[in-house]
Amino acid sequence: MLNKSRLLLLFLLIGFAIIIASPEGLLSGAFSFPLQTQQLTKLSDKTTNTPFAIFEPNTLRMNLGCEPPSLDWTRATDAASFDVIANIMVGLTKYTDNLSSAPSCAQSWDITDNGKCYTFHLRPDIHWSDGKLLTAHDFEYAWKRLLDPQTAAPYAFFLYDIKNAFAYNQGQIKDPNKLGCRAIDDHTFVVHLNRPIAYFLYLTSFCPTFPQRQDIIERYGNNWTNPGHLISNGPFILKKWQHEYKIELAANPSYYGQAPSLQTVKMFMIPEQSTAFALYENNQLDCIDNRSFPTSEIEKYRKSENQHGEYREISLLRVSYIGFNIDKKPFDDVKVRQAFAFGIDRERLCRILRHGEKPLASLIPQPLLGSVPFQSAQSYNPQLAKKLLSQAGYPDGKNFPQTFLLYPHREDTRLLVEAIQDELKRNLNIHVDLLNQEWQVYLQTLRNNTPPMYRYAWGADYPDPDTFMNLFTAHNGNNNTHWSNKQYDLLVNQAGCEANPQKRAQLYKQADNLLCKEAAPIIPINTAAQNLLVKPWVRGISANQLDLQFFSNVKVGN
Amino acid sequence: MFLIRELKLQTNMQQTKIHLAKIAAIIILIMCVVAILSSLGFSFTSYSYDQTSECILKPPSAHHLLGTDELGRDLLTRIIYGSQLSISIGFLTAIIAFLVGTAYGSIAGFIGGRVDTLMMRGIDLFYALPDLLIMILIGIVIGRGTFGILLALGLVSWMGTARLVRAQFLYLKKEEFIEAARACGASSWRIIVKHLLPNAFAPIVVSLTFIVPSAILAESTLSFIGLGLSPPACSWGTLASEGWRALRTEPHLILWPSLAIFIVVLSFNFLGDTLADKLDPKNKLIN
Repeated sequence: MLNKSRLLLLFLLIGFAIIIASPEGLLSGAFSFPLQTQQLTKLSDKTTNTPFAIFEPNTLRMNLGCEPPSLDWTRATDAASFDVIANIMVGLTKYTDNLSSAPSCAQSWDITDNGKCYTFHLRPDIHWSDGKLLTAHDFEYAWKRLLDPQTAAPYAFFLYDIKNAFAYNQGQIKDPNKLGCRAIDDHTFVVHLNRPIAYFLYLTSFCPTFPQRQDIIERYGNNWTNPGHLISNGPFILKKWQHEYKIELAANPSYYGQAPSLQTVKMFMIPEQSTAFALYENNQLDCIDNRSFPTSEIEKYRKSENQHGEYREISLLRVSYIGFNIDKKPFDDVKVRQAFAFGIDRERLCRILRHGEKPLASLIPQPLLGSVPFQSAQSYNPQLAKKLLSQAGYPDGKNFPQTFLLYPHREDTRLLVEAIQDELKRNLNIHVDLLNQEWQVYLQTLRNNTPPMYRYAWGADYPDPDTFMNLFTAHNGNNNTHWSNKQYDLLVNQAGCEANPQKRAQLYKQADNLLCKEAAPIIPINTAAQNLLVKPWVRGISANQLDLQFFSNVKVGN
Repeated sequence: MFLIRELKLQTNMQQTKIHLAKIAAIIILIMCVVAILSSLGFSFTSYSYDQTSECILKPPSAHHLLGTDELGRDLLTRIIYGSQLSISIGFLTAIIAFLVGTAYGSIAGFIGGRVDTLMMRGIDLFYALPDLLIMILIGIVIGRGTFGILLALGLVSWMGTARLVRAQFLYLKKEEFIEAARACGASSWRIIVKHLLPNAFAPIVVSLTFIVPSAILAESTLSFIGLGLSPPACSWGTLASEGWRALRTEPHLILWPSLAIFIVVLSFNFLGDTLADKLDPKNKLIN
């Protein structure tokens, strides 16, 4: 009876044996991974004192953590897909290391009509990897495809500010030629905007707006992203895609820019953190990030000083917050929401999470325009929280209705919500139940039947406050709080079009104050951080706050 | 000569077994007393089970004998608190298995014939259902909590007892004392409760001592894969599941709860084994 449960006993027994026998060499060598050993080069590395450093020359091995759901850049939405696409494609503009926009496919552009008309002049010498010339028509096709309601691209909102784009995407206008983006000739691409948004050149630097080949997509249909079919224009090309195992990129000989030093990038899909981490320690991966870096190991690497500078921590433009459904009791009362906000010690939460998270006072993370530096005294005040709660009719948490917090099924979110549950119990004497759901189910629940409280995180799509602030405008599909405020919408809209940075910052601060202090449909908790481990023989890994990794300048070797 | 030596050896082994069983019984008794006292509010440590502190993930020390967890909670306190659930789940599942299994088995065994065949096929059906799947489904439908876990465990644990009781009844009901009872005009109910059950009791008790540890393990499995209790409540399984990710850097997180599971399960198995030997009529020859 219950034989399966005896397996656990066996497992635990083996666990003891391993722990007791070898606390240090526990995982190394316990996993074998099919890497061709004859390709591995052994060498003794004098500078770093690692006598058995092993790497594959001019090859970078990293872990995507999972199979990329889609390599079609009009449809992709997740980090694994973007990691591949950002290295095989370039757009009109590109991000520099400090996240400003620089010329790429477009060598220059004119901005006219008070910032509402962009004319891009394309370089005449850019070729696709099959030798065909890149033209402005490829951009026109890609952008129309992104906005086409048939494509149902989640990132269609990226281009909503183009003339008629929203109406076309919603099906109110049927004719794609009415859209405000057009190729005048092979090398000139003109875009007409509804309003002069200040961050448009960021949009042209990110995956959804990259050009696409009409002939290829029409010939292969949904299979056009398969290796051999997929044609790209970036520093690398897709060479192999072994599903659930690895993707292999090779240097693109027809890339217009400086040829990358790497010949091959191997992107493995190892879902288990501990397995991937063991592979890194075994020199079978060259760099890993949070996806492959168990939290408890981060602490160890951060503390130890003799790790050859392998460890890096980058604060990300990624915000995690608690949202309320303001239609559901007791969170229809703004005092309750404010009480919760003051009753949570965000600094303590960050200490518990241990990835290098930073507490947040505003929805806009630093160093973006309009961000408010975190000050503990102004964000955490249990006395005030208790006062607000009793004003709302629940002195010392008495008679507070039973409520719950929904969170997605992931290890670090579990820890965060447990810590929040503890904070609320300790500071407000309120017990909140915790409920977790699988990611897809969780997203559906948020849309269709928003729970009283939920934990959500949002990563910036472009390094501008707008990417966060427009989330809570009335018509944004990601605003699950049911909160809408005309003044807020107006402020965010105004700020988006404001050219003067000081004025913009001021407007965003006002909107943020409304969102996070006065109405408080959300409580911003913390910004995330990326923790990287990079082997000493890898140079030039550029990690940025958008969490995009570009491998064109990476070198592997001594 | 050889036979005597063999017999001696067996007696020695029996002695060791009995000693082990005594130790096991003492351990179980202590664990039960600790669990009961802690559920009555007696605290063995100076912390409460959900009391957090700034000492996050500290290894064992004088203040925290078994160390602290990710939220700074004292692990010893949590293990003692967890014993309430783990041990009570074990016993409650055994009780459910006893009630359902005995009732089902008695009816099948006592009535016999076509009813018996039908009921036994029902048991086969239950045996064919994968345990873990049933438990996961119930966990999803009813939600996380003690009731869901108990229902799930009860549902997959009663069949063995039912078969055992039926077999005993089939064998016993042909005995002369039952015939005598019948001849005296005793009702079926009286025969079952007063005559059949007491005589079938020994094997039932033995089977129950094996259900307790397997239920504790099953509950740990459920909690381990994330279908157990909802935090901050905890059982040994949830504690182990929180700890396994940090196996390399903070082994104390998984070591102590696993050790607790291990010791209790082992003790129950020793006890059950010895009870089975003691109550087995064949062994009376040697003793």
